[in-house]
Amino acid sequence: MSLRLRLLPYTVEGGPVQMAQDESLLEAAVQGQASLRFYQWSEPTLSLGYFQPVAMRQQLPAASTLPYVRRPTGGAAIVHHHELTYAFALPPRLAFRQTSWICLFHQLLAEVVAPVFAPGQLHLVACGQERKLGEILCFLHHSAGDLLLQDNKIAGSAQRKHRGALLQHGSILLRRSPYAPQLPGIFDLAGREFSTPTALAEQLARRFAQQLHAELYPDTWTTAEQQRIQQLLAEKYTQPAWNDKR
Amino acid sequence: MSYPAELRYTPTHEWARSEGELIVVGITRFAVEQLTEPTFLELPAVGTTVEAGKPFGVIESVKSTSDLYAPLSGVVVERNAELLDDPATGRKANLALILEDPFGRGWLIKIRPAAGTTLDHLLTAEQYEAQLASAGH
Repeated sequence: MSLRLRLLPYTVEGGPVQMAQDESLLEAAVQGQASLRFYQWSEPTLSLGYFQPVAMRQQLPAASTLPYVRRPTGGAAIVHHHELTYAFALPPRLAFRQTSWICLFHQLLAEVVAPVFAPGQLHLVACGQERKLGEILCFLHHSAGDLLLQDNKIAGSAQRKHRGALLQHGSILLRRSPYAPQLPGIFDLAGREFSTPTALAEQLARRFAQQLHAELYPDTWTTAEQQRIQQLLAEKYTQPAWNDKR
Repeated sequence: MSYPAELRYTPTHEWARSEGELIVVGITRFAVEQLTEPTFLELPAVGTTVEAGKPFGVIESVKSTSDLYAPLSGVVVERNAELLDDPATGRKANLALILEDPFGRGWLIKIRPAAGTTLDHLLTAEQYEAQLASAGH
């Protein structure tokens, strides 16, 4: 087992900090460092896909007044509220090893929650089965590789590629948010809170490392990374030039 | 797969071709195959200075955004209008061109190279294909 996968601390922070930390993860991957982390958002926040116009917020009446941040990744908007977010970044040679990291991670999530649900209730959207139930929200786009539970999308993921390295982050819906009331979470669909965000994170981390045949080890940000995160926060993710760029 | 010998290539899967005093830039067929279905494209405005090896644009495909890297330094003098929305006429960008003809109608930008800049530092088709092969592609 030669690959080492560092597991960074579980954090609860605002959107700009989380996006700065994720981008820092990608930069570390370019240098050869594989990383994984899980987090939650300190306040309900809307994240926009890299190419989404900021004016789209007005088409989401329940979420239009939320703080928002633009992601470095593609895809559609997400209301981050009662959810668990994951992010991993992989160096170039590892990133090319798998054709669909989104399918892989969603499959791991399916395996983690499968014991709670009856057989046949969970499935990954196959190519050709894509559906768009709304324009703006990620969780209303059923794309290939998305995980559906009782026909509701419960995990949405997006990627950024940089110099061959890959950043993938995604949202796992736990409970319905009043800011996106049309989207039930896993606990809603189960009828009970069968786990906690941190317990789910631990299970997913273990399974992800097994899948990669990697040694998972807890770690913290280096001093240089902390400085870079502060720079990205100040110069990018809190700036209208980034968040309102379209 | 055979790559056009008259083009030069970057390790990050862009190509460059001389056209008079200008350099035409696009992305390779390998990059296109990785993208599968481009949905959005961001290109620098005409007049923007780009730097060799640094990102000059972003392309999105199936929720994945990827940086595009300049093969050489210079100033952007033209963008492929067919790949961009035209607000004046309402015409939508035709990103399928990148898929269908990455070395031809799917070109991205034209650059006036900085003084003294050549394509000699870029990979030949043979070297680029060797790079793909060594990476297992």
